[in-house]
Amino acid sequence: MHFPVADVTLSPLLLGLLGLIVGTMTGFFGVGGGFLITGGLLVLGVPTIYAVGTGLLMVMGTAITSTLRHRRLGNVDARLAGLIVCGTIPGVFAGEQVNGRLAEAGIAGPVVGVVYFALLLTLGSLMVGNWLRQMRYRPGPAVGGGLPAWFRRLRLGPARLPLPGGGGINLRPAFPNAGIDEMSALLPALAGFVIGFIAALLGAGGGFLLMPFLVYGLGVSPAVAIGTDLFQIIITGTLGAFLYARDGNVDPVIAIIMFASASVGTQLGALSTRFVNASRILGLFGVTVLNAGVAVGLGQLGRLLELPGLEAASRVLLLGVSGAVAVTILALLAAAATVRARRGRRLARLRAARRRRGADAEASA
Amino acid sequence: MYQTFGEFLLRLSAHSELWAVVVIAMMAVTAVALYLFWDVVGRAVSLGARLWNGRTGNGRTGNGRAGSGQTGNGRRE
Repeated sequence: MHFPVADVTLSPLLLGLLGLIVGTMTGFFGVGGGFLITGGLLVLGVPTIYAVGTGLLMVMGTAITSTLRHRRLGNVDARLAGLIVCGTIPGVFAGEQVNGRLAEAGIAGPVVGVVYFALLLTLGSLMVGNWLRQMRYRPGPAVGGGLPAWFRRLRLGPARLPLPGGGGINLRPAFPNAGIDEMSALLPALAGFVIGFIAALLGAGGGFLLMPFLVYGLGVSPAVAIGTDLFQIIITGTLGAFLYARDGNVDPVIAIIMFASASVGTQLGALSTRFVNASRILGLFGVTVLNAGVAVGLGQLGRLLELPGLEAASRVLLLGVSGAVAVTILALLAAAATVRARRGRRLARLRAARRRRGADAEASA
Repeated sequence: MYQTFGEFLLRLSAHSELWAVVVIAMMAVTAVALYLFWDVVGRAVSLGARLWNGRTGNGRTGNGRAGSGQTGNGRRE
């Protein structure tokens, strides 16, 4: 099938498969999956600039669907998400400015590659390490030691913003869905700025940074962190997609085909978060991020040594491991659904037996 | 037909600002429409599963009450 805007011929089936993998991971981990979509489209032969632009459009779409789904499950803290977005928007513009300067100096590619590699590898290692420690010593939900308490105690700016007509705005509000009794409103805005800046610099949605910050930094439960994080990705994804589309570097037909299959994965991924324990979600996320780090590193090495085979291997690694993680998520969901169905049938049998006993007692009376 | 659609997209992409707005709006509308679609499908599957569990619950009792207006959960409809 030929896609006229990107001027490329691709198999819609492969696009659908890539969409399904990305959708499952988006619903499950709360990341936009930009790194995965772009990598996948490059493997399929889409020109780089169209792969990035179309990837951002797809990130935006999956983030909207996933946020709506997580909102229904009560996993979105609107106040926290709103404050993060207040910081994200200026952060994205600042990041784009710096990216432009780096591009003018001709060092954007290597700088972005090295920063991406370092961030993904560090985050992935920390998360996988934490998961392994929990599995060995202390099973249960992860909250990064004393860090959340320290962040919550941090007093940034005044406690109240006075208004001219009397009264004022509380700048140390509670975040009920996130389980935070009181926290400085400037902290999430500041975090949003830093994450928006890095996201724009790297051309990603920023979910892989915000999700760990919410869980390990603020001690938010992984399910709420995922929902809140997705809300922020809508903003970064929309801004990025708009800028790329304006320059004509987005193919909407590719995005829509991938998105249609991704929506199935998104529903299944979001549903899985209800059955899979928090530690396992973070562990799988850590494996995905670590793998992405290794793949980016391999790609950079391939470009540096001018070995196209190494670059291709990095993309195959990225897609292969991500596909395996997506299959694991779906298998966990299937296992949970089977257990639930068995429990439901047992319950129905017990009820029926109770009813029969009641009927027998009535008959004998 | 697809070729005509492709030509239309190429012509539209020449207007950069309009093209960007159309692309973003199209994705947003598709996202909401697909969410609603899967929501309805999810509800239908959930309802179907509940009815099915109810039926099998009754079927397994063998008390001959099928069609008596009671579901497997013992609730009168």
